[in-house]
Amino acid sequence: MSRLARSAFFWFTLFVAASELLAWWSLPYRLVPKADVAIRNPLSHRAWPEYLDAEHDARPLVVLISNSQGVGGEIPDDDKIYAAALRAHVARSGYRFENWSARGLRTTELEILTLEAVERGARHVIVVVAANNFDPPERVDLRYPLSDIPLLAGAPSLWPELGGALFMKRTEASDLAWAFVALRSNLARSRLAVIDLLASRLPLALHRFAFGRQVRPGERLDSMNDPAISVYLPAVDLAQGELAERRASRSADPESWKIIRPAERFTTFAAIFPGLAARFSTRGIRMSWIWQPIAPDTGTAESRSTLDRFVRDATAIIEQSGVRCEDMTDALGPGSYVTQGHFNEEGHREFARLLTPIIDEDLLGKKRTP
Amino acid sequence: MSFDSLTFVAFFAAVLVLHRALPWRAGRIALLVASYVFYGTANPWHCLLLLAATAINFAAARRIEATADDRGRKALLAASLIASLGLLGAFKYGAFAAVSLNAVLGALGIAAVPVPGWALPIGISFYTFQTLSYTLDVYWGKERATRSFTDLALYAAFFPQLVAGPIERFGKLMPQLREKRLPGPGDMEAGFQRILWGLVKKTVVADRLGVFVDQVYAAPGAASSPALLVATVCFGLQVYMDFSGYCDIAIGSARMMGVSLTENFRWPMLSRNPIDLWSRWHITLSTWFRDYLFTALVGRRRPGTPRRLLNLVIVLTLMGLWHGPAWHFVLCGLAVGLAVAAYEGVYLVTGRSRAKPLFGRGWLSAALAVSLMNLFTLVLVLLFRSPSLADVRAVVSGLCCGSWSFDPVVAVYGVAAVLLWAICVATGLLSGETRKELPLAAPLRAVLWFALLLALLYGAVDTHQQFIYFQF
Repeated sequence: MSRLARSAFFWFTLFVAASELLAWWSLPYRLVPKADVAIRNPLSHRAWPEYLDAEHDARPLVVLISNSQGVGGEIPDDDKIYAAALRAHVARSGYRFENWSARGLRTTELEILTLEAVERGARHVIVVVAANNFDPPERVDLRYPLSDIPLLAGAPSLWPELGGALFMKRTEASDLAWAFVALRSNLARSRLAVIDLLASRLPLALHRFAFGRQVRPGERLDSMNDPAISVYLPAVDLAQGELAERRASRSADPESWKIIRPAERFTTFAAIFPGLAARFSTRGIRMSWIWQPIAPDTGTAESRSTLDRFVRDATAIIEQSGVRCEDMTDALGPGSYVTQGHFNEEGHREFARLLTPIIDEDLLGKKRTP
Repeated sequence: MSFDSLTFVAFFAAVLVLHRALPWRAGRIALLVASYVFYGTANPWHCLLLLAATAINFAAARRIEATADDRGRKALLAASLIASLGLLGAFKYGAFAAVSLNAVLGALGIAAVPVPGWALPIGISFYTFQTLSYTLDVYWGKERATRSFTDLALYAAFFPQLVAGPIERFGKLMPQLREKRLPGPGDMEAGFQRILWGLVKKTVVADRLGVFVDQVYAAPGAASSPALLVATVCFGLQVYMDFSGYCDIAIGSARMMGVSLTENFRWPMLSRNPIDLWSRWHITLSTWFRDYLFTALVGRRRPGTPRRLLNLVIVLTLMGLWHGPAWHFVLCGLAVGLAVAAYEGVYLVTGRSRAKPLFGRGWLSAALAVSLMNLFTLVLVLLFRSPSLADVRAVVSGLCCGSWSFDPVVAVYGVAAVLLWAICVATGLLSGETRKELPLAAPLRAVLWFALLLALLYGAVDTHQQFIYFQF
């Protein structure tokens, strides 16, 4: 024993083991259910909760596939997003409506969800997307769709499943941290909690220094320690959250590729659309394709012109396939947004008002009144 | 394979086990194979270049030693130098030479030559110089040529120092690799601690600074003057933390295998004059140039002052070019050469005793000298970091005539840079500019390791960056 006590390696191992236990005891991750007992959707990708346990009845199914705007993460009240209005409207016409929207919808997910629509015998699929939902060829992230139920009750958290357990992921983690998480190290998981905590507490000017890049300020960590909840449902803090972050980081926002690279995204779109249209037409599924409105001040004049070209060229491809396409890129005024691509309450209301006659025409054959 | 990857952790653990378990006859072969695996993970074909450099110098040294005729020995040495430097030149400087030549040919209206598009083999400058030093030592009679190809191959490829040094001499490294040396508990602990320090310096400090530096230097024309100034200071600290962190990991890894490598840094921010800087920064490279190039240029004669100063400028300019095929590196080396020549010139011309520092004795004089050297280092850093001469102009113009708007992010990095610099200086002064290990009791040492582990866990930035000196 005395020989062991003289070894720094012995003491180091002891400290690591003790801190591992402490991290297990003190961190909210132990409250997170293991992946095999957690509610999860059949495809294990990020989805709106109703997709998890949708009612199955005899009514024909209408599906909405959209991005964050179909989820409405920026609007605290779920009943005020356009998808809720659309649901109520469609239901009145005797259809069953399911919202399969996923925040940050990606090409892979669009493909998976359309396959699922075929599998479930949907009658009509409404796709509301923007150019940035199509990944440029080199940006297809295979890890992304592996995430588990990130959108519980509209909370924009990712819950990737690693090593048989879920953990909350609000930022990128280094490969080292990921590997230790895979080894179920609670100490390594604590890194994520610390980043969350710091992200919500530190002034934005310190974020790039503290994290090496801009991090979206996260939720208050103290709410995660409530033992009454078994699954953490964070609340978005708009005052410190997205709005502030976007203002501070617009010029150097590493995410700006979403806005300025529509030309590369068009390659992906052109590659997948014919297959997607054929998939539906052979099963007699109708599709309405809507280009989602974006704020008039999005990007530079040059990037906006490229974006417009994307929509024009993509619309031509869609219409050649016999699919109804509606370009609503410029449908909303500047007062309808909280950020360049995200509607505020007024934007959701207005978009729902503009969308319903189009859906009525496609779904019910009603002629629109001018 | 990068030192700051999990792959390396697994690889090194396996090597340590084999190193302990195998008898040395098999163990050294295993170490050689492991070193080639380490090198080959980046590009397996580049192992052939490493093998070629080893074979050229192995054969040349054997023949040089066996040849009595001085002209024959010289011819063999020349052939070895041409072959080794030819490989280095082709892969590292081929494109640079072709582009520069095409600029001249274009002006003369002559058709351009094709520009080679080969990928730069990692570490080629380091192992080329290391193997060359062996042949030169044999030529000058300082070393006996080895009869074992495995010996020389292991000397050239020993993985802790293969890709970015320290550049070791055959006479120092080989005796440690000829027989099995088991590290003592003290070596294991000191080596492990050194590795942890190196990782923290690289992933917590250098990479964090790099995020800001890269952003500013990506578009220097758009950056404000304070941003450019802070980014330049940050890059000076980044490159020091990055390269010295790499050396810490190399030295620590070797020590855990019972091998002692040469220190490459000795508090460069405490340099008092241009010559002092090169005895503190990348020491094994500057001593290589001193021992092999400067000595060869000077010869046995004692040249006059102008010739000696010219040789200094030539050697240090070449040392700049060693870093990479770009004019801004040449300019950086030239700036150092001129500064060193000017400093040396004062002593040579005035006959002043070298025991008398130019700025006099006392702490105030030392502080003045150190401050001036740090300012000079900033100029070198600017030349070193700017990707081209056009960028050098953009940075200088931005520093002199840019906007002076306040940016809280720049302020944060500025304060961090000043604090980091002050910590480095204070540590150097408090340690008496040596690398003494504190005699910590085992639990306290473990507390330090644990703190370093936590720093790695919570402080490592997500933006992984390659070690800067890998590109050389």
